[in-house]
Amino acid sequence: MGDTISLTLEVWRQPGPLAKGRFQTYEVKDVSQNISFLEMLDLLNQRLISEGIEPVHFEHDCREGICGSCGFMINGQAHGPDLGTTVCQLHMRRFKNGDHLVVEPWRARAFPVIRDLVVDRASLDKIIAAGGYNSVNCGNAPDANAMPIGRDTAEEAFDAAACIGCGACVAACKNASAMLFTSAKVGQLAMLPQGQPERSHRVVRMYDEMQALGFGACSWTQDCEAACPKEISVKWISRAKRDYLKARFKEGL
Amino acid sequence: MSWLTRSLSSFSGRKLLAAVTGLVLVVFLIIHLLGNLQIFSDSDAFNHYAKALHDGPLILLGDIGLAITFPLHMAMVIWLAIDNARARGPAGYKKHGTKQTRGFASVLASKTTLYGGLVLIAFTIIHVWHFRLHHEEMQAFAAGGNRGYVIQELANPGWGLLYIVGSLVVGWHIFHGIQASFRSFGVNHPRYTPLIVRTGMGLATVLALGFAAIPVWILLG
Repeated sequence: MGDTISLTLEVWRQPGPLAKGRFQTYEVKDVSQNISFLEMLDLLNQRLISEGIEPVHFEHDCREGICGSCGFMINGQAHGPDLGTTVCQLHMRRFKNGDHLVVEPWRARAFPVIRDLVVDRASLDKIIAAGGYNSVNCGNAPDANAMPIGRDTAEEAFDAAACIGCGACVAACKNASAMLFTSAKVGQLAMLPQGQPERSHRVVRMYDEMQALGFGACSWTQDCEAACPKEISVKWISRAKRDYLKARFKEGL
Repeated sequence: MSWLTRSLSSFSGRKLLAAVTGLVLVVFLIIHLLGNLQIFSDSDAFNHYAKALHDGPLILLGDIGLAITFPLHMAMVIWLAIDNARARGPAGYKKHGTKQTRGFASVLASKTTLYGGLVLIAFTIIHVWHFRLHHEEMQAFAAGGNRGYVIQELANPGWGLLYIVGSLVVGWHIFHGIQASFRSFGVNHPRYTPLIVRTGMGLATVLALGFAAIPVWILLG
């Protein structure tokens, strides 16, 4: 059955987008180490509800690391201390009895807090809407192997496409930059033939939209890559940046 | 906005200008250090070099080059830094952490490059006033000309220490700065990128130790 631990949680509570928030401390006792971090919060919330207190709001959906809904900072680390996982995949066995955890929402001007640990990540959708798509007619699904794309190329494009848009890169970046997100979304299409016709316009529109939304610039600290639950490489930033500079200064877009 | 102002005021455009000017300044530092190292020679090499430098056209070229690149580099970086600081929003984090497994120095250098740069602004102003603007006085210095003047000034522990700190800060600044400049050009290669990173860190270390060696040597007599 595993051991149980007791923790002190310092959780950011904010009743609404315009309300003033503050940290609230909760003691959580006898938590099984076999449950996930979100399940631990579920237990806390159950207790808060029974005590007539508003539960801690946090975003979640699939709870298996593929939807990108969950995510907050645990002791300054996006999605908690584990590499390559979302916070729903984080288990309590990662913590020791008596640990003190500071739980805060993603902090970025482009990610306003909606409530407690829930932030509005619509800015990421706006970046996609600025150009993260193909508007050319690709026709029906082609025959297998009709379009020659090497396996390595397809795999690499998928590495970038694995981005779930959780916002951890923005949260972990000292500049709250969305460069990794934007560059991965640019890169997945730039790898494949279908993405070529709009390649230059796409990167210019998406990068400029990212800047206009109030995200920061890249200082190449590489915190984004370390925080990414899908372990998306910072090489995508270099690639998209080269595309951007080429589009701007060579093609004169 | 015109195409050019729009392009250059984008984050990537500003980064591009900061990177180009930064690398020009690194080249300047290399030349500067090669000149400085002649101070270790007992002969008149340093004085000859200083005289030739100030009599020739190179000094004018250098002054104009630095007068363009240095302010441009600062302006672009400070402009970026303001936007970066605003991007975090009204509330910061209570607790800071990282999940990086890279070397501690690389991570710390990448996060403190800006602060090193701010220190360098003050250092450069003092340094230019201290030596460049006292050039006539240095050349006419009775006890050993330029070389004697530099040795006399740096033998003062206050000045000596300031120059040691300045040397180390410039090294720290470009420890991240050199590789970051290449990143700003969009350079990414499985083989060459690690080479650029290591060369950049190596060059930064050599420059820092090279510049610092002079005040250390003088202070130790």
